[in-house]
Amino acid sequence: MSPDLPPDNPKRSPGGGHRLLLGNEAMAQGLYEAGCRVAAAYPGTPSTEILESLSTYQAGNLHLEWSVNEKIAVEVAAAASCAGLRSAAVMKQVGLNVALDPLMSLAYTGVVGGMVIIVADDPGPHSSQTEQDTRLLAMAAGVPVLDPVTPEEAREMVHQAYLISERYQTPVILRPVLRICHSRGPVGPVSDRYEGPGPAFVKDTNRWAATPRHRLTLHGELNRKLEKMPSDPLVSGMNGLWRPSKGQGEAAILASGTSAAYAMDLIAERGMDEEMPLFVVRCPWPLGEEGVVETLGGFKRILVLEETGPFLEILLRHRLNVSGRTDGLVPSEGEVTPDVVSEAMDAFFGISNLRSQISKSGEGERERLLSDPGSGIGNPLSEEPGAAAGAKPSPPTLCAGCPHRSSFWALKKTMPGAIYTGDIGCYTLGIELGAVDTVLCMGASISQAAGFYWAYRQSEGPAQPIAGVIGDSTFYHAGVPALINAVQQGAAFVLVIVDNGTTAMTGCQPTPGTGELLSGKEGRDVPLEEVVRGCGVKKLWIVDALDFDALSNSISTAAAAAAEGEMAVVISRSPCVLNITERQGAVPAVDLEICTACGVCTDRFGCPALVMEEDGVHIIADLCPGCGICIEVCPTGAIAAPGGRKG
Amino acid sequence: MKAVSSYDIVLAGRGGQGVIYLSRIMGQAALLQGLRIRTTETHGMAMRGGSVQCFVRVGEVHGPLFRKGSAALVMALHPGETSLALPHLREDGTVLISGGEGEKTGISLAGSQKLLALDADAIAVEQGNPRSANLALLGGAVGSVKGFPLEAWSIEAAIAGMGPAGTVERNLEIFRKGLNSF
Ligand code: SF4
Ligand code: SF4
Repeated sequence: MSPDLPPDNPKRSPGGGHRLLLGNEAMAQGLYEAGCRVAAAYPGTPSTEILESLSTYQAGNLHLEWSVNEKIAVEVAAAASCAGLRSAAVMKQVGLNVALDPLMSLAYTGVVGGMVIIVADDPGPHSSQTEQDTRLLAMAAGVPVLDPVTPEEAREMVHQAYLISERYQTPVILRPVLRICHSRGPVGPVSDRYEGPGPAFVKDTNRWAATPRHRLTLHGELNRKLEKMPSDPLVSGMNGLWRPSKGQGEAAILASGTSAAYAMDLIAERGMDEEMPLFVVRCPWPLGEEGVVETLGGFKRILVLEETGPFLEILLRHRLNVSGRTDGLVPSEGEVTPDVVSEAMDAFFGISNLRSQISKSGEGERERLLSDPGSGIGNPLSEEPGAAAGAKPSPPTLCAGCPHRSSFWALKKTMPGAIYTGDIGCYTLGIELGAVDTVLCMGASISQAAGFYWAYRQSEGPAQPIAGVIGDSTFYHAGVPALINAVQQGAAFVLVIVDNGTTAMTGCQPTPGTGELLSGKEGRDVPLEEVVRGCGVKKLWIVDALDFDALSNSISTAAAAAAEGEMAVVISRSPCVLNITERQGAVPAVDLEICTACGVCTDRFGCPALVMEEDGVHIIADLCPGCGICIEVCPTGAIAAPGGRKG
Repeated sequence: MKAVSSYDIVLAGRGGQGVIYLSRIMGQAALLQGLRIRTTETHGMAMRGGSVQCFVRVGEVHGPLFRKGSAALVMALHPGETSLALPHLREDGTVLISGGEGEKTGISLAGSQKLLALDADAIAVEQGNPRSANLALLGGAVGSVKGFPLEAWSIEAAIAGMGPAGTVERNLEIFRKGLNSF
């Protein structure tokens, strides 16, 4: 329940008391209603708003936390479920990679209180390093997975997931895609919160601490559950024909997730319910194959529409004559948009049949699509064929005054020619400044820097300087073990921890360094420098990221130490501009007599408050919080502080 | 062939322009009118000034996105974002851009598409809340686009309901200025 939503107007809203909610808010409503008592998450687009929204409900018996990472979130929630409470762990799809270890084992031990793991997939990908399909990981783990068609359904599915979870004593994954998480639709009023039993952990070492011998037994139990589930109406009832159909015929569609929603819209638009029977799968695993095969077995050909991999398609391939990704009707990567669905349907059902059915404008569009096979595939904002000719999306950039920009500039200046290993966060945008060469996954900046160090140690040539850059939140998430490893092995490089005291990229969630809790209550802080020292680091500098001279000096001293074989860490600290209440300093002044319009500050440094005009550079005062770094950047000295920096 | 069951809109702008806020106002207004609505947004890796597109569908639909070439209206909060949104526009659709008449040049339309410009920024600045140019443009859509499904009363109620309290009066004024400028 977003506090800023207006009160319901039951008389006028459809169905009475509906509110327009983000899919993530709808799932939070479901978690509240279903009586979730412990919910843990690590923020990540597109999943972040789920816990934020849940935190706005007034529930006394609900522990919420931003865990340090997704593995920990799953373990915390799982223990609560073992004690009999309803729990939830929430993450984005790549977060499940981090949490796979507990998930695999948890599938064997099972749970007692219901446990829902919400994993948000990102077909496109819009904000992730992969397009991975969580349903495949659910199958690998032996955990049921649900795939909602709309935000409203996602809320209902939270309830259903808890029922399945408790009936079979298994965690259940709810897998919304970005278009569920980040779309808004009308959702019914909040129902009363379910009050489940309180904590009562029953000791049973054969289950909760099973040795390999007992693990074999548990594996057998897991397999029996997975065999039973598909024929349980609780599960099989979720899959079925969208609208009644004659049941036999030439061709039908099988779809799940938002692909099913688009298929519904396109079928309705064309008025072709009869000609295009649509079977919707909401529980893709374990799949009630009998139900599907019974219903669709009479059709000669089946078009499968789903995101992101050919999951159902491969599951059914040996029983049904399926089309989709396996025969190239659906592209193997990128978001399944209405254009993709429309093209696939037309190709599958025979486009000539359709010509008469589609509207004039639709037909014009089709000609264009057919003449440009790339259209409509993937992220509309990517620079792929889908974008209009010549139209380029404006790229995201670090905010004006972002302290990261200062850190990157100082790093480039003091360690030119270094290999820069980067990491995940706003500061990935350091690519624009030429100070990020690699981005692999959370925490990899440190281990990759170590790997480069060992690689270059073997060469005869001059020493290769190496610098890693990681944010504070990412450091806590996955950087700590990597740093311990680097120190223990004797790797020597510069690590800059850009510490802005928040998880900025996902909307400024607190980190362990701040001591702030999701509930708003004060927690204990775990200071970054103590952790770094605790990892065994002996050479540590802590500097104000906006004190450019001090920062540059620290990095060059650190680089010298690294050249001497030391692991050298610089904490470059200054709050994210989204969190500052006071100006960083005064707006600098540009002397247009001196400015040569060289473009260093606008193009290479790239502060969005600086714009190049005919007569030289201008500063948009409204955008400039006054970090003062452009003063250091300008090679001709045209930019100067009017009243001195920082005041 | 059945009638198209939704009125589809693309809101195009840049991070920080309140594109998503605008879609929420529209959503709330639709609910007040008893209309079904779906919205979804697309933006780059982060919200830091990058292109943002928001898709709004008023009507009985299931999916949040629609096919290219089917939007009845493109509202560009930043004129530079127009061409990126144009492939979504219907052959007889309308483009409403935030900007002076001069910004119209360089936007090439097809078929019977129509182009309107409203200096929303000027209106918002004049009323003392430059961040609410989006509401001026929404007013412009209600006032000038035939078939636009949202009405002034419901939008005003949504603006009043969504606050924040101190800005409501000024924002309503900005919306009305936009409404009356065609
Ligand atoms: S949100 Fe914060 S960390 Fe991210 S770019 Fe802006 S100032 Fe930098
Ligand atoms: S002081 Fe310079 S670099 Fe800093 S925000 Fe202002 S214009 Fe940008």
